Amino acid sequence: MIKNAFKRALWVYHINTGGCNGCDIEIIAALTPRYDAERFGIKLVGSPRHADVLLVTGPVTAKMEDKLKRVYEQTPDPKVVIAVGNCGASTGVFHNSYSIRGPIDKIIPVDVYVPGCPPRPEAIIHGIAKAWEKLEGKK
Amino acid sequence: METIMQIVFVPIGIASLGLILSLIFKGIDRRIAARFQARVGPPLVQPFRDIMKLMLKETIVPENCVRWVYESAPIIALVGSLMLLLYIPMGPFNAPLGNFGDLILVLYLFTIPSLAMVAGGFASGNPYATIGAQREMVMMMSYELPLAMLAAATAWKVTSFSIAKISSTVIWSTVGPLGLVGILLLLVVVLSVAPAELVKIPFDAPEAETEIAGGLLVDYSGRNLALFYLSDAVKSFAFASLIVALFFPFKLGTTIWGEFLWFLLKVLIVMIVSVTTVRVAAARLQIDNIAGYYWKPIALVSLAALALIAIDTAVVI
Amino acid sequence: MLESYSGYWYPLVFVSVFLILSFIVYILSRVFFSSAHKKGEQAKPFLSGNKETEKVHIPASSIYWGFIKALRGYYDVIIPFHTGNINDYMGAFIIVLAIVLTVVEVLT
Repeated sequence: MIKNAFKRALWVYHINTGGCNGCDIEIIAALTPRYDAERFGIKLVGSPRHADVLLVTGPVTAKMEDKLKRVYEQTPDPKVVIAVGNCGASTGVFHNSYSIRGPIDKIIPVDVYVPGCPPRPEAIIHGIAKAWEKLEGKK
Repeated sequence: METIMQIVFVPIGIASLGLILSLIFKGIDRRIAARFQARVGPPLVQPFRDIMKLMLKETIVPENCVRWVYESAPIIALVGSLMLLLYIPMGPFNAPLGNFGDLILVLYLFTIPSLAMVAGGFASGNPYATIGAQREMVMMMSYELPLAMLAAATAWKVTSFSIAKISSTVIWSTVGPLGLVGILLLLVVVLSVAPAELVKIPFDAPEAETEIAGGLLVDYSGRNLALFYLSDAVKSFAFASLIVALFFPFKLGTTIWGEFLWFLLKVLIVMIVSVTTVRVAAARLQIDNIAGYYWKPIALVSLAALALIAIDTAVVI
Repeated sequence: MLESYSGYWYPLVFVSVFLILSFIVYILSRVFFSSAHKKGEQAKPFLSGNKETEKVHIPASSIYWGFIKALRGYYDVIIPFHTGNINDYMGAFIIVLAIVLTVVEVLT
């Protein structure tokens, strides 16, 4: 019973590493009454120390590189990183830009990719639900 | 032997039962808040799932914290909240330690979890936590005055601070018509103190989630976070039980378990009116607005209530 | 046992129940929850990902700025009143004493 606890109580911390805010708006939309992520137990928290899931958006700019690494390390185990949007998976429209340090998986290990520019809120919720299967494998 | 039974086993039993009831009430509160917002909301057992999930997370202790305060503050917060359940009578059951403590002690016990959170926030060694802790301190300085006037007014007419005695002499019957208005005003005052006591919106500036990254609890994770979460749930249940015991101690006259269910229903209604409805209807207030709100309008209303009860007493005599 | 005209409190019972419950909560919290294994920058304070820079010192009286801002009207009157001159304080003391004595005289 305790092993299934993660399935229905995922706490999410959202960090934007320099993107255009499109994916951030879709993440917030996923928590509104229309899509209502809270009925699955998903809650947005204010500090990575409370979080199980790191929702990372945007390509990683030069200034955000070490901050992203620090936030990743400050999240307690077991944790899952979800890269939301095309910029996170492959630097999207910012390909070969001078200030981009690469897609997210060059900085921190990513477990789930949610592609789209921006992805629909249902896709984001589906990605967070897939994160449970990853967490199950990590224990 | 009887004192050992009273001091060891009964508190442990009531504390465990109170924990489970408080978490169920917290789940009901979240579900009803979601329905008010046209959402479906989490299932009723969601707080249990949150606690079980926190059991699987690791507990990180930041390196520039004051270690002994940081580790002991959550324990003191939870034990302080659990002790509250032992002094408040719940429906047909007398408080197990009701003969050993009165209303003044209960009001002081309500400050222990908040003070433990303040101490834990200051000891976290994080500027976000310091801001949250100082806001909680200012809020406590503001809402304690109306609560003290409430205690004075209820004990004045009943001539005793014992909660069992206040429950049995129903306070509405000890005053005339002017005094009834006064006691109604006191009820309004205590229902507006409730969200500040329990750090809920619109008075959750100390724990502002998006503004100061979680406020007091920013550096807490795993075990300590679970203890603070539990203490918050138990404090909500205890404060609503106190309001019911002081203002609505009416009995139905049925079996013992029927009386207890009636008591739980009254606690649920008080919690919905004072915490849930206000939580979904209002936005967060700034800390100087909160201090101004409690020192100016609410203090004046409770002074007016005391004056009405005094006039009522003078006129009758 | 501490007793006043209408209130009562047994501190010994309170302290003993408090200690027993906190002991049980301590044991249960250590058994059911797990601790962290040290790695990397895990234990640094969370500053939205920034490194810890030099320490800033602020006075402790800035902690209750919200309180002072809310009661600004009161503080604007009372702070200039404290001039530091002992004659002013004695004058205020005598005036308040006179008012209190007249009120007590009228009421009784």
